[in-house]
Amino acid sequence: MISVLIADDHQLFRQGIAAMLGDFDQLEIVGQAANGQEALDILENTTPDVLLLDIEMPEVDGFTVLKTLKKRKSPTKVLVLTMHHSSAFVQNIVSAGADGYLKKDSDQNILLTAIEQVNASGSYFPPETTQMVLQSLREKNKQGVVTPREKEVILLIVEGLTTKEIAERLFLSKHTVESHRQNILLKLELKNSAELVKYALKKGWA
Amino acid sequence: MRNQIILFSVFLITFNILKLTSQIRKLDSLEKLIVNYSNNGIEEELSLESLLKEIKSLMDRQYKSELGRLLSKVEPIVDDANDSNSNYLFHLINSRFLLYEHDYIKAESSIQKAYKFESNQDNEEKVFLRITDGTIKYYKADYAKALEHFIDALDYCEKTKEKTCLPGVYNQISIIYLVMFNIPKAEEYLKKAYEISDNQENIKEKSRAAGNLAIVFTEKKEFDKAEKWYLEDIKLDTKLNNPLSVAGSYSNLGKLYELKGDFKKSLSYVIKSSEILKTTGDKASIAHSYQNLAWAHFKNGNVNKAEILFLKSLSETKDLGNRDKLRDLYFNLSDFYESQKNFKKALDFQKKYSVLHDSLTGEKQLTAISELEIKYETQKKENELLKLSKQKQEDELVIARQNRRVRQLSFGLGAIALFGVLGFVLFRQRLQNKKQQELILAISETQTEERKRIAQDLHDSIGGSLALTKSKFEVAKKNLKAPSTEMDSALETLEQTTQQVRQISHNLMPGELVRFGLVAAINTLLENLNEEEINAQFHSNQGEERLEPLKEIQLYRIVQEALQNVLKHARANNLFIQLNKHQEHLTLMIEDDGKGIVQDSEEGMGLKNIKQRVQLLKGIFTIDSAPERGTILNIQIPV
Repeated sequence: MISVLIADDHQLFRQGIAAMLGDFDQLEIVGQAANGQEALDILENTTPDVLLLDIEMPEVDGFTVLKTLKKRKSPTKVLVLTMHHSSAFVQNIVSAGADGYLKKDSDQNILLTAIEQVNASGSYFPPETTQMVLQSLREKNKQGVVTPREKEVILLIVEGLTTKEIAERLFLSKHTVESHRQNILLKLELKNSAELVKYALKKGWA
Repeated sequence: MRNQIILFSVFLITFNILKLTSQIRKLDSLEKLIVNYSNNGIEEELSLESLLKEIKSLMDRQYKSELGRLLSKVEPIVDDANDSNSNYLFHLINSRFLLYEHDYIKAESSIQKAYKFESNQDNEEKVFLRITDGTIKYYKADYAKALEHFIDALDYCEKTKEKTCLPGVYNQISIIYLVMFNIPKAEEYLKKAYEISDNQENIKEKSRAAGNLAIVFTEKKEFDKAEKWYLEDIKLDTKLNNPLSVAGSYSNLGKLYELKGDFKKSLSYVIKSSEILKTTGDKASIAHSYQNLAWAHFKNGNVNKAEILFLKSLSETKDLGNRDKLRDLYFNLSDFYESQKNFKKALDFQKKYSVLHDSLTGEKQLTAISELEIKYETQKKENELLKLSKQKQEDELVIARQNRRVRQLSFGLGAIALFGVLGFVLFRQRLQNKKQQELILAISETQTEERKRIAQDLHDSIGGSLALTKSKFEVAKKNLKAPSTEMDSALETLEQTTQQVRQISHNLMPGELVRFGLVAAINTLLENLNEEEINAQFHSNQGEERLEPLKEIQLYRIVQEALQNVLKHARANNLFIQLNKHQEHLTLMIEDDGKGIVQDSEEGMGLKNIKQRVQLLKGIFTIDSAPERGTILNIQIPV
């Protein structure tokens, strides 16, 4: 029997989830909290196996609950149940200490699976969520790569052209060329144009 | 060359009646020459080029109508001549003239033509051309482009031998920084302008720099320094025999002391200003000075004298037939009588004001600024309606407070209207900008709060309920004995509705922006793009560091708006967004490889919004676009 506490500020939702989970014999709803503070109060005295936690709640929100529980070293596993769906959100709740994540409109059976897995193996994330987070991490790896236009600018800097000449050559304003130059130096972690020339030569660009 | 450089400054008006008549006479004789030209061809002694040079040396806003006549006559001759120097000169003078006429669109096309013929010109001419171009952009409130042209002018000016153009260029650059509220930069350039013009003994540019430094220090609330600079400006203008400008500085000193709360000293300066104006015989300025005097007396508690002066100003302004000024005056009079609890008269003038106001605004083009004014008016009306329902006492207090602000503003404008010198044109524009910015800011702050609330309610409350309903339906579906297409379609609708609610809430105010900041929000925005539609990359060195809420929201909206534009119009394959924090500024660069912006297209609206948002952030905005070479939006905001 897995004991479950539900924390959500919308009564209708709380009751609905409780009713839905009531269908399963392997689960026991041990309490409901209408906000983060109530949840934390309940968790001071009891240790349910799983907390179903909403993020957007008035005053004490889901993030604060996650962080407090982490500090308390609470054994209760937390499955975040939210309307939010973005890699930024998922990454942030994970670093705040969530053990699992599920969208609120998930199927009844998936909800059961999630609760069981979080309880048994300590984590649950739906495949499409994992995919999304991985994709965003891959994107982050691409950071620091120069764009084709920036490369054009680099080549002209190597050729020794001034900002003004580059601007004329590429049909750009001087202001934009200057911004390009600053962005390039920043991304490649170089100090000045001289270092940029060296870098480009080393890379075999020029 | 020095003479010409002095004439560069569109803002400067020398006031010298003797000179004026002799110049007009000269222009008249030039006109005769041109008529001869058209009749007899090139046999005249004076070449076309030197004739145009003559016209150029006489170019000044004061001789606008004479210039217009001359130009219309000389145009066909230039067309026939097919000589690049004459063409260059003609288009340059013409663009200057169109600038005097406030026809910026034509001025711009004329200056483009001048560029085509500039190859033979020396560096001094190139400076001149770019300053004219920058000034056109300045009047169009395209400050980023204006700055670019002035900096270009600086490049060429550095190449000249005497560098007499330097103080003028520095002064122009400083103006751009002033209107963009970048006070430190403005100060830096003005000090350079002052120093160099001092060395070169260029009194006109020196006085411009001094007058603007006074404004800088007023802005910095360093009133003692501001006063010092006004006095310096007065000294220089006296040397230049420019009484209008001297009077302007005195009047501004009056305003300065009013700000400091020393109404007595304020009055004494206003009186000084008005006495000088009387000697010029400039009726419009004199009529206006009565108004300033009235206000200063009012501030000193002398209501009777104030009323007499207001009415004097009224009768003279009426004689002059300047409806703009009359309207402002009606407004101030209504205000004045209201403060005296003479509501009947107050209402009378208010009505007169409205009549004039409506007819004047109807005549004007509906520019972005007047759109804002309409918003402002509606807001004011809404406020008034609201107030009607409130208690009377509270009512009076609010109105009084509001009126005080408006009055201050219109007085400020009043003082400015006196002067032809740069600082005051600028000051006026800045007040408008300030008003505009305050408005946008106010609107944007309430909007933001409201949006946040609605977005969250939609997302959590309605979204949550929908999600639950969907789950319940799923359970019900499983318990059905036979499959039901109705149940399936209901579920599908429910799913779509949930998506829509999510989308609407996200558009209103993304939770990621509120919670995690700009970088996360942009990432999420791109995450939701269809990969087949466009390949989008985002780079930022900003990490999780947060910016001020206003900056975050405005920059996010800019990205959103730009993205819409790219998806709808650009037909691009790749999109690169970069948000980088440099030492003194933040750069947001949005680059696509699409077909480039087509002039006068639908994209304009989105770009206009972006421009307004950048202005709100006191930033610089440039668009680079070439056919089939994509578009780069480059935004720089101070941090």
